[in-house]
Amino acid sequence: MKTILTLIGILTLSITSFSQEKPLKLGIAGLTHGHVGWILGREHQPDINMVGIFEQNKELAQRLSKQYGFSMDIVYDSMEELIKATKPDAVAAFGNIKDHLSVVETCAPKGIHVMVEKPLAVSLEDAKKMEALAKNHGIHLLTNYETSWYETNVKAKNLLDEGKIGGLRKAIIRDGHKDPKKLVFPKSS
Amino acid sequence: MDFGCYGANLMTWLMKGKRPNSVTAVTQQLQEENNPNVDDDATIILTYDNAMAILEPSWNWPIGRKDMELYGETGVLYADNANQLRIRESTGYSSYTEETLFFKDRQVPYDDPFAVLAAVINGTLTLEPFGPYTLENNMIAMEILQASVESSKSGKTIKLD
Repeated sequence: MKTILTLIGILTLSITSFSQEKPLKLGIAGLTHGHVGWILGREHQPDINMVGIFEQNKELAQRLSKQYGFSMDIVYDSMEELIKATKPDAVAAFGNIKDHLSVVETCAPKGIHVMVEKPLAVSLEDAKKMEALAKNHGIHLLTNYETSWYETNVKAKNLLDEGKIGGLRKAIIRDGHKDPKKLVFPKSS
Repeated sequence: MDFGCYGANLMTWLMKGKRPNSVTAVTQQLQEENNPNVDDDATIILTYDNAMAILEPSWNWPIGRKDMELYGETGVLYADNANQLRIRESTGYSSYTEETLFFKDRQVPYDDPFAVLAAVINGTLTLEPFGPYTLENNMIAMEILQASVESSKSGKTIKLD
């Protein structure tokens, strides 16, 4: 418990000094996932400067450009062009999950950090390549899940770790919705 | 692989990086007209030394949901959604007390994934080991998902060593 309190103390301290840091130059790879609205619609804050977008679907980019008010001048046709023109510190991949590997293949050797929308990859094979690239080039490779934003999940884990319900015996985790068109699972044959 | 990743990620976090001993998955396609090329319903069972996890990703829920029920030796935690948590504690054979807690959004930077990314890169935030964002967690989650696909295709339980 003491460790946890110390940790919280350190975190709080860290966060207060946060705003003095240089803003992170962030590129976006792909606009197809709905969670991309998080960064496009983000109010201006000193921690991040969104410098450019890689999206080949110009119709989609146009529509989001109007919706969120970014210029089409910062939309690039390839990852290479985006990186050359904007020199991002990090790239967030919000396109097709299949492209996560190629985003890391492009970014890791240049020391550019990557955050992908879940899941990490389309296959364990791709994930292993991504892991090796991230480790070899010393970049952070994060995976974003909506459930990581839930205070209830954090509280539930804390209570479990404190022994509130005794040792864990069974967990039931449900997710999904009624609209099947947004997500992909390979059909078993 | 998208399917079921929430549960695999959360379980790996809850189990502090422990990999399951086995993975069994059953998948079905319940809405062929909407979804011609993919299965849209799954149940994935993970076994650990002292616990079992049942992941139920589906596009056939009548409502959107991302929830979690944790059953311990003496009580239950129901994380119903982002904001409501119920705690039941056993008081007898079938009796229990129930408490409902409500939470607001997470504190900065955890309320925003991009703020988390920025803080990790500038060194002001160190993620907890096997936390949901971490690579080590997601490598295990991918292993679980890969085993789920194999299990669903073969109709067999996949043992992880």
